Amino acid sequence: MSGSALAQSIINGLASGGIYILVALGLTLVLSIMGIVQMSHGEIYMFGAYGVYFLFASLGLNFVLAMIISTLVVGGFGIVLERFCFRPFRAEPDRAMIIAIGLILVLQNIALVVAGGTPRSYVSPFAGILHFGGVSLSLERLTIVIIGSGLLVALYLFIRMTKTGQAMLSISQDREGAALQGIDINRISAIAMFLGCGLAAIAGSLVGGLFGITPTMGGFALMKGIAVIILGGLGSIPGAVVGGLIIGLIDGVMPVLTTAHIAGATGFGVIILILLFRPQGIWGHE
Amino acid sequence: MKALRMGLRVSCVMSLLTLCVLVNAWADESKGDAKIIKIGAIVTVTGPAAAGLKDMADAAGPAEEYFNSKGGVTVAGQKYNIKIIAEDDQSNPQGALAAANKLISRDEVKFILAPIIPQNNIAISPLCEKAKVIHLRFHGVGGKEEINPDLHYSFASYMNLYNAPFAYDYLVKNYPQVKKVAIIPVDDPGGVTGSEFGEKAAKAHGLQVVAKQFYPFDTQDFNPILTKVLDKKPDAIDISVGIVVWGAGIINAARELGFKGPIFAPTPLGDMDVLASMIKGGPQAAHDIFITAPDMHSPKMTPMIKEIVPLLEKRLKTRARMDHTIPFETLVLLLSAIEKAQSLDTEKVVKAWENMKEIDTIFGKGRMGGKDLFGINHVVIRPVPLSRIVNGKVEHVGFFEKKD
Repeated sequence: MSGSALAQSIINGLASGGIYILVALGLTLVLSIMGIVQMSHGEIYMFGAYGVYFLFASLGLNFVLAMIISTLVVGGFGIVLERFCFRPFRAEPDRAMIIAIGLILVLQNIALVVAGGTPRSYVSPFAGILHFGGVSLSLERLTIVIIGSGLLVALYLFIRMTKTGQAMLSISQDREGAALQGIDINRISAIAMFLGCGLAAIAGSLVGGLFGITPTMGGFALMKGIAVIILGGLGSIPGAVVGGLIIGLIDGVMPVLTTAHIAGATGFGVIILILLFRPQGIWGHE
Repeated sequence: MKALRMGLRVSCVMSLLTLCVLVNAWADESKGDAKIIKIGAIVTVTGPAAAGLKDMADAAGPAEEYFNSKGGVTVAGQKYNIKIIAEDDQSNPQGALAAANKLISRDEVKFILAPIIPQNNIAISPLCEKAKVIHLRFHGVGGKEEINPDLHYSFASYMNLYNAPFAYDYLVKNYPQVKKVAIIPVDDPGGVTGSEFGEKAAKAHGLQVVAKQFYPFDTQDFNPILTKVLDKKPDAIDISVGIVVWGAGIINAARELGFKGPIFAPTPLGDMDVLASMIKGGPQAAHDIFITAPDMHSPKMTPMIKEIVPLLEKRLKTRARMDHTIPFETLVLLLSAIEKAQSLDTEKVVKAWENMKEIDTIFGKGRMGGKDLFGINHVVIRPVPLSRIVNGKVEHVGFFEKKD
């Protein structure tokens, strides 16, 4: 393998890592506050993508406005899901997970009936390719990394510096204790779900435009999101960053050194290895 | 007065009953003019593959209407209309088997439009053989598991394995500078078989295959794979076997990484307009791409395609796509074979079909073949359309035919 191919694979990996972090952000937030792995996170991501496609590509709205509207609508849908699908099963995470799995089928088939199965795509407003030092990077991927980084910082600051964010932190540490302190669990869970689904919608809007939009595109987001949050530590935002970068680099570099199949196995092999020595994940708490 | 009212009510009821009987009798008499042939269709409406295969299911109704409006089929002086009974294979072999069971035992069909997914078609073969039911799969990259001398009732509307020589003919004629090719197929039985044929065709045209890189079914980001492949400095990329989303992913990744050579596929990845719409980077990136797939809306298409496209668009209220033609492609062959046999007995249909020297297809006149690759003449050999994408627009290049 040549030096330029290695350099390109590292750039690919870092860009992929940025994408995975963006996808995992919403998932880790919902998990830390609500205590469930939101298995239909991928389908929420898919809805966000279709929302932007409909508003931007079909109706001709400005892309940023389309993304904002899609995020708000999907976030609002998240509040509905929390209220009717997850809140009744808050004390039974296994049942909540079954509900979430059922939602995968429901939401996928809704998309199939409404939007059809034909893959969709739109011309990104961030078109263009940067060439530097023998490597290439599309502006679309760079934009995803920049927006993802911005959202990461914003979420971190929100959690650390706002009352609602602190309430979320309290609930993630000790739900009963937080309730005893007067924190409204229902309200905070709804906000967490709104934010989690909104982040998924933003991820879907950006990444869907990159890889194409289909009713089954959510599987990729869920697999990568779960891998990232398990590796990085459940409910940990810094963990999501580290996990995302590790898995992104494995996915970017290993296929070039070996094959795509070995790369896939390596990613999960690394997760297993790290969990053997650190079961809570790289940045998780015991 | 009371008796009169009662009498009126009774006579109204009797009149209505008489009317119903007469209408029913008239309807029966009308149906008596044309009988019905039930044709099963195993489609994919649910499951992970549904998104990509729904078009075939949607077009079943229009196809039934089309062939019935053309007079259906006449066997031994008796006219028959067709009735398609569709069952869902749920994207898996177990579902396909359940669907076939229903069609054969409940609906007593003798002809089935086979599932598109090769594993699902293979799953129903033993049942169809036992029940003597003809199952016809549409064009694909099937292997000998689907068509072989032991499968007496299995047919294919075409096999894309025959396309590789045409695609490489076009490549060397239009891109004489190309000396090295990279082949990038999906990692499934079709991809393995298709890539072998591609490699063979490349070598037959004096080209060197510098890379052959399989990718997993669930690949979304093709940059890592293309980084590896482009490190071998190919002059052209053969996408081999795949679907529209993967084809677009490979094209986009290749162009993003700076590859400027031709990119082609000897198998139809899917609808050309959908593929063109998914290519990023504008017209400058959507160049030097050619696929053995039809440009459905080209004025140079065959009369049958030109007839089908507006019918589909009127009925389905959407732009007609390549997969919408699948029921038409298979039904025209099946009905031709039945008419040739002048019988609905599947044994007689098989015998007549495998000896047909000429058969109507949606892409023009075809013939039966397949003995060279599959050991049995159960594959329709027909003209192959080739299209290219120039400045983001799809253009019909021409039709190619396999010569013996």
